[in-house]
Amino acid sequence: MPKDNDANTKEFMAQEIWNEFITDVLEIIRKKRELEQEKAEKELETENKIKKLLLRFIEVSDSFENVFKNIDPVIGEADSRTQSWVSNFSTIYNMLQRALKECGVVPAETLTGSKASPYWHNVIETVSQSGFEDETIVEEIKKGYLFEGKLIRMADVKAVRNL
Amino acid sequence: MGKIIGIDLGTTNSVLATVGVKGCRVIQNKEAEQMTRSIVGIYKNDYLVGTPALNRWSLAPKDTINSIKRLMGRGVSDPEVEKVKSSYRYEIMEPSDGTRDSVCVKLGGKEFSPVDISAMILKKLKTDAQAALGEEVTHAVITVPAYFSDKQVAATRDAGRKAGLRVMKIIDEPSAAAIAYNLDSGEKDAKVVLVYDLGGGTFDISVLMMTAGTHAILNKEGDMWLGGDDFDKLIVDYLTDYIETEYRIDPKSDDRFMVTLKQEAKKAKEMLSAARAAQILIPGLLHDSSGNMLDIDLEITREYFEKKASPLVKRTVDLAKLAVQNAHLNLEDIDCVLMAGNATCIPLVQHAMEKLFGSEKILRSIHPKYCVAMGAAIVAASAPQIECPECGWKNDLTAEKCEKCNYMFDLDVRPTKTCPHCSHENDIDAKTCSACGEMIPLPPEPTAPFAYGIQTAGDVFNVFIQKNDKYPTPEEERKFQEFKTIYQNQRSVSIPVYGGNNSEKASANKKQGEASAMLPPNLPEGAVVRIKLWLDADGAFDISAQLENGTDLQPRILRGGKDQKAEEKIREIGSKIAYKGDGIPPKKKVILENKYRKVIDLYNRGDMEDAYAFATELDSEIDKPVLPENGSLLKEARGTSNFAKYIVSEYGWLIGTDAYQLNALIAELDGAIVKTTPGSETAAKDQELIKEKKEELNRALNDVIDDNNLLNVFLSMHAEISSRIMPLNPVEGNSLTEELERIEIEFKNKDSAATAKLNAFSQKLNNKLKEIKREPENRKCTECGAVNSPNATRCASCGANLDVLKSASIQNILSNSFKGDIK
Repeated sequence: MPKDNDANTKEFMAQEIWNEFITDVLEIIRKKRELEQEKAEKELETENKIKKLLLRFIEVSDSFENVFKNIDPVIGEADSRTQSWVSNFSTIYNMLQRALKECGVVPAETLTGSKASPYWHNVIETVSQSGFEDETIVEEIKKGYLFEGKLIRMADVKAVRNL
Repeated sequence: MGKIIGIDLGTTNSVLATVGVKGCRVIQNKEAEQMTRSIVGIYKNDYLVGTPALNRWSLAPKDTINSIKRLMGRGVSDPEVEKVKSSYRYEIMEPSDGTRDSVCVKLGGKEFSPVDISAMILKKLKTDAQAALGEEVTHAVITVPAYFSDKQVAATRDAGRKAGLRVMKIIDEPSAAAIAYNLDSGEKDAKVVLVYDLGGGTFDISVLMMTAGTHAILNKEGDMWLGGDDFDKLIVDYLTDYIETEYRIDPKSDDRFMVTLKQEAKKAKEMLSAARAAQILIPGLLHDSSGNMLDIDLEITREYFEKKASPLVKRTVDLAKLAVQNAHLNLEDIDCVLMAGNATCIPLVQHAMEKLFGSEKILRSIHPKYCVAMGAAIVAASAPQIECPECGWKNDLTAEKCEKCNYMFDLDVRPTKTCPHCSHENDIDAKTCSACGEMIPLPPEPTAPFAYGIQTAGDVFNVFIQKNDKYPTPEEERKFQEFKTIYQNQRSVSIPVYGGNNSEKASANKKQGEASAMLPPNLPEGAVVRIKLWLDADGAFDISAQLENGTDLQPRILRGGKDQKAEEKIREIGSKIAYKGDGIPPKKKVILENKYRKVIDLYNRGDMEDAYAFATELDSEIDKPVLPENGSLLKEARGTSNFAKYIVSEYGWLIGTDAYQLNALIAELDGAIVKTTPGSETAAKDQELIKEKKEELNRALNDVIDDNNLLNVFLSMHAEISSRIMPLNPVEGNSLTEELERIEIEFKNKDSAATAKLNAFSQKLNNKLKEIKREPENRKCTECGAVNSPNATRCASCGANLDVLKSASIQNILSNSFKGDIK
């Protein structure tokens, strides 16, 4: 039956071609997924590096703020030269804040008198204060920051804890 | 099925990992951290896990649970529990509901077991993984320390289950680390691996033997209270001492400063891993006794840090030596050392290990912080199976119970009961509620959660157990229902058991399992099969089946895919051997039949895997064409000689003096066989002689058989039984052979009734053979109507099981469809 054999051979070849095609399609899909994952991982890695760098600059900004917080009450008593230095440092701090803002980093506002949220505030100090409910923020110790709308550092706060 | 993850459930931190197309990677949590703090807190009736819980620690130290791993699977009198009690401020107590040999912690005024708290951590990890992967996470491999007892491992498994994860396997941390380093790649040479795991709060050292893809823990040592935090403390102490001496103030009383100092100390420790010195800068937070602002600007050198840290490192080195010694090994026997845990990045630690074992043996290509989680992820991805905690059997990921030992995976969590007063979940044995203290009423007798029944042809749901029926089903309520076979000579019956409340269609309910029974041959179509189904004390179904005449069919409940596969294969080859019939040469038929009997034996013994493997092998053997034997003269000669010896020994009493002639010819043939020397000059001559002697013996044998009618009858009967009945029904084949042998003995003993018995037997055998001779009928599917080949067990068109039963009467169907009650 030569005709049958011929038909079988053709069917076999068609099946072979189909199998190859399917293998190629699957390989393309696999490669595509691989590239997508690679891209996502690289983006995440870059984002993490940027965040780390920004957090370092935020720490410098924290230190400026700590110093100013201590100087502010006594600055009026200082001589004009010291006042000028402090003013210069204040300008440098403002430059740093501006640079951070330009990079998409802005302070997250903490309202004293509001309740501390575990998702926004890290309570590092507590105080017993009558007339205030527990968990009320009485002081912002370190500012929290947002990077492109997302929280990259929580604010360190002092909150009420009445024993 | 969703994604699979690996979880390093740590005492201080937990890490998540998964294997993607580009290999293994760590998954960040919702807070964009690669490690999640293993801390649980409470906020506005919501449970917090990780950094948010840590943020509230100072506000609610009694409601912040950390290091829960230390309490897993421990009783209240355990010394470790005492240590935890003295180290943390949350409340640890014996459960007030009377549960013994366990502890609970108080969170938000309610009691929680360590399993509950761990489950909260795992749930957060699962949720965060889902968010990061964009897919549901359903399965996980979780790591535990090598020293964890069975009870602690079981508790961890429960926690995973409570978190909504199907725990595929619990793996010990050192093994996971070794797997991450690909040390289980199957090399035949055994390797001794030392895993040095210095985590945040614990230190574990394990000695593993790895060979051919498997591993064994030779020894483990450790210090549950030594970790990276102790190294941070060294820097903190150094700075506070410096401040006290230099400025005469106590910085420890300033919480704000201490928080910053701890953060800076951690940073400095990490920096010292790469640099010779680290600077600690804390400006404007402290004031001296005169109120002047102090800037802390201090450099700490690696040399100083190492001097301070050396006692801690020495402790770990001593434990490493002890671990090797207690494994009955020498330090030189260690082939490689794996470093796990973040604190192993400290150069002093690495140098100590290099000094002890040699630098070439220290492996450090994977970050020690993540290698345990990565190992777990690799295990999960490479063997996607659920390992039975009872017998170790590896089951399909979808299995609800172990295919081998029937262990219920879904029930491996201790059940709870809800307090009717405050809805708090209490231990199943609790008499009073741990939250509100009210008495919990005794639970009612257990009842069936839904109706149980079997599926018969047409997807009919034949209910045996109604919803809310009490179990165990009382003996008097276990009633038989009658069903009928679908085909003539139906050889097996499948009994699919369904559970649910849809009384119209069996398949609309959830399949609970399947039973199978072998039927005797030649049953007519519509033969009655009586089935009884009931629930046992554990709420699991059991089944019995019998024929109308009371023959117990001993149905076997198939526990998962492997049983099913084996059972179907056996049915398939049984049909094949029977239907191929005379097409198989007699010799081959006897061999196949013997092998088939072995398969049945394995199946009956419950060795499903072996039965399936053997049946598959047999299947291909049935289809293998019989090739002519090349150079088979010797084989043929030996065969003739053996057959003649069999006739002489078994039927010598029947052939009389012919036995002497046969024996002489056998001796001549055997002599010729022994004499032959293959490849020699005389080989051709030898072969001629063998051929001659073989033919001579053959002729004599034929004469003896032809001259002896009785012998002829016996041999023919044996041939028919072994070639045609045995493959279809080995039990019946055996019984016929035994009956014939008894008749032969009666003839030998010249029993007067022997002839009559042989005639009766002959009639019986002929009837059996006539029934077998009938052409097999094609099988029509009761579901879709498709016509299938006679030996098909499943419909080729719709996949339905072709060996189900049919309901005995239309009333049966009606009662099920409309009333759902046929008891």
